[in-house]
Amino acid sequence: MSEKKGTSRREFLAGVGGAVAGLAVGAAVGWSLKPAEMAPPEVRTETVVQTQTVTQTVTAGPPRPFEGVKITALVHSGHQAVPWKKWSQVIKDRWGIELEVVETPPEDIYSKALLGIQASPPEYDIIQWNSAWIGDFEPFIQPLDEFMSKPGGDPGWGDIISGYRNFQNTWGGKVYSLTLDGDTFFLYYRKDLFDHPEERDNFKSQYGRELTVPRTWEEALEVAEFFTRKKGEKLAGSTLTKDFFGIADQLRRGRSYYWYLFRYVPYIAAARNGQGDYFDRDTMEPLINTDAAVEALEVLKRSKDLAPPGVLGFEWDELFTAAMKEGIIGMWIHWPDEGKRSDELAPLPVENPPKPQLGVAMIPGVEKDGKLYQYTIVDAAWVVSVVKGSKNPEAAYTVIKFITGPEASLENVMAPTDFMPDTGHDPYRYSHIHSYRFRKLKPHAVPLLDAYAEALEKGFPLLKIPGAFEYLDKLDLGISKYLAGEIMSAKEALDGVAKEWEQITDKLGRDKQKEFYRKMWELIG
Amino acid sequence: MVKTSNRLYAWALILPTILVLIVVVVYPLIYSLNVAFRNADLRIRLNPGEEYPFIGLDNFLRILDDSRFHDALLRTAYYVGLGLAIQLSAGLGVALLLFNLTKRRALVTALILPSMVIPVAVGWTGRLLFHPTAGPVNYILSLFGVEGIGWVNSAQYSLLTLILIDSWQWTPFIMLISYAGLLSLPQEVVESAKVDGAGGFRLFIHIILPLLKPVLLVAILIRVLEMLRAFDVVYVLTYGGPGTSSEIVTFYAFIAGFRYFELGYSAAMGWIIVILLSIILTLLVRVIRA
Repeated sequence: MSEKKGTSRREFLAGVGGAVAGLAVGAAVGWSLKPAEMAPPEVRTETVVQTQTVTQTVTAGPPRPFEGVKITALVHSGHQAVPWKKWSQVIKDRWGIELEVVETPPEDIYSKALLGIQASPPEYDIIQWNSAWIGDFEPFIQPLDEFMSKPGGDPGWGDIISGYRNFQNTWGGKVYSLTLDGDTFFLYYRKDLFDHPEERDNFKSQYGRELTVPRTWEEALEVAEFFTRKKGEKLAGSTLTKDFFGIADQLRRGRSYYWYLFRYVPYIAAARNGQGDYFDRDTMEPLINTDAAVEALEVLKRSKDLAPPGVLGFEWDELFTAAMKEGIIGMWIHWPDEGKRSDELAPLPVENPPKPQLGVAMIPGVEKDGKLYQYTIVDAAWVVSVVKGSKNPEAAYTVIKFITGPEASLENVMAPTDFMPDTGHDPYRYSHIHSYRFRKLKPHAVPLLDAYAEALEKGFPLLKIPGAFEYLDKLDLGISKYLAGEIMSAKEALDGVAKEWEQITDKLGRDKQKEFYRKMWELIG
Repeated sequence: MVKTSNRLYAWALILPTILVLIVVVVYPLIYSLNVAFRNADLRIRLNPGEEYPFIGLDNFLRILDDSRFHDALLRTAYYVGLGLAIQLSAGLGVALLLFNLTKRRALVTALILPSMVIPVAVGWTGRLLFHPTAGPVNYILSLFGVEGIGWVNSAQYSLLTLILIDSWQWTPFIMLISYAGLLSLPQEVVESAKVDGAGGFRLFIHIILPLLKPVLLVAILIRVLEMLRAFDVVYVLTYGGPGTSSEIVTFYAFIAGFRYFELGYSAAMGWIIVILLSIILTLLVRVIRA
């Protein structure tokens, strides 16, 4: 009789699985006992009519090659699950595939997906996951290169914007996923303010140069300082009814590291002749406490001093509200949401405001020796993959190729429309940003679409090696302590972060981490 | 014979409950204890059949060395201590006021509403109430000449904000228990004290408070338990920040387990919290019994 001495990962996750299964059984019993009148409402006629239109377009293909095949997809619950359900009938009509959609909240996807894809056979054929987890997921997902090389197998690879192709889908020179949601960041600015003749004249007389959208962080700080004014002062030729702030970041503890990285990446790249990095690729020693890194943190601190008093508590909602609903921010960096909703921009908080206008531009960079180092962080957002060990990998690939392909994904990223309710998906293909239909249907999103290609050509990856969460959270903590005044110098804060990063690297294995970090940069061709 | 069948019948009745308790309570506890003694880190890739290594007391010894944990523990003590003081004094005060009112039924119902709100909603409400520029709290303070308190956005006030929000939600609970205690006080003792000339304050200190002590201790016990396990409001309102200024021990355990995926270390922290809770509970129960 052998005594059980330990807990394998599978047993460990199986424990969690037991609990999940228990809940599932409970839910199933509850569902079966549910009174008939609680059945979900029927689809509205309007939607059905439009679905039929799409179905007619797609049923004219070849005979259904996967008749009766069932594919299970684990996806982000809520609005992100909408397109999977919406397109399932089309997938069935065209290929005969029965698509079962398993929804799970985003915070549970990591553990639930890892549990499911390690099972034998795997519980899912397709998973939606965050590309930052590639270090952990790589052994359990299929490289897609083979499917993509077959006749008719290309998912429109060249149509995916290079930033996403390189830094979300590619790992160690192979393609492991297809992008589902093109998350990235832009600099938003008050175009109505930047274009105001009086402000332009005042700026020129004060700084000796034209008022332009800042290309560098030094310029950005100057412009932010210029626009930061108190209630009662003049702005855009009229009296301010509230305090106005030149710049604001999202600095609540948890995700403030993004707003530091927007500064860090160009500063470190400029200091290393264009080679932006998180670690030294040979030694895995962190670069996060170098002089360039310290300077970037000091720039963030200077920005914070020009922001609203509560900026250390700003999460997505607070920044969006202050900038778009209250109209009290001159410049800010955020995801594509504002660009897609630019028609919601509030007027400037002055007595006689000009017509509100939102500008979209690339995030500022750093100029050194006449060269501009300017980058856009490619957020490690949602991608989809085929699970290794899937009984029907070809069918699973067909599904993700369709869902992320030009035809379906255009509808997904344009949502909400009459056809597709909100999906939360952002554009990620050249055909999205140049789409005639998109531009016609959502003219207010045109400045955003115009900014996409330029921004993503200069993409820079978010850290995505094993332990990425911990590395970035320790960075976040150091930044937050410095900005809150718990640590007095930027150097001391970042030295602390570097020490923590070294400990994480040693804990997870320096050589292994070095290998993963190398894979992060290894691109196709 | 009858006795045996009765015993069997009794066992048959309680067996399902015992089984449920074993599955729901005992097994997870033993399982988490097992995890606490292992290097259970989801990021470490194991080969098929490989097990998370047994590392003995390493996770617990690491806690002894972890200054972030120690700071979080101190913050938790402050959070519980100050929170309890506010809630007890305010709750008891309101209960005494209500006790002396004649028409109080609707008021009691209205006052206990905050304790029915789910913690996540409380967190979001707190974010709106204590917003430094748009929040009503700072607006009201500005009417009295107090300007620009950062609340959740300042390292100085973030923990205090959490305490105030917790107190807003749970003072009614203390009030309700105290009020029930006041209603059940033996009136003859109170009346005798009054006849003997005891005034309001002396009556409260020497008669009412000692009589209410068992009730209040139970309320304290419940609140200490709840406050030591606080998480939701911290997650929504401050995420432990700015810096670590509002990071209490449960939130740190969450970060270790579900952000760094060090489940072994997180489980060890959980067990330390359980041990501390058990000590506090034992002491309180002894006081109640005495």
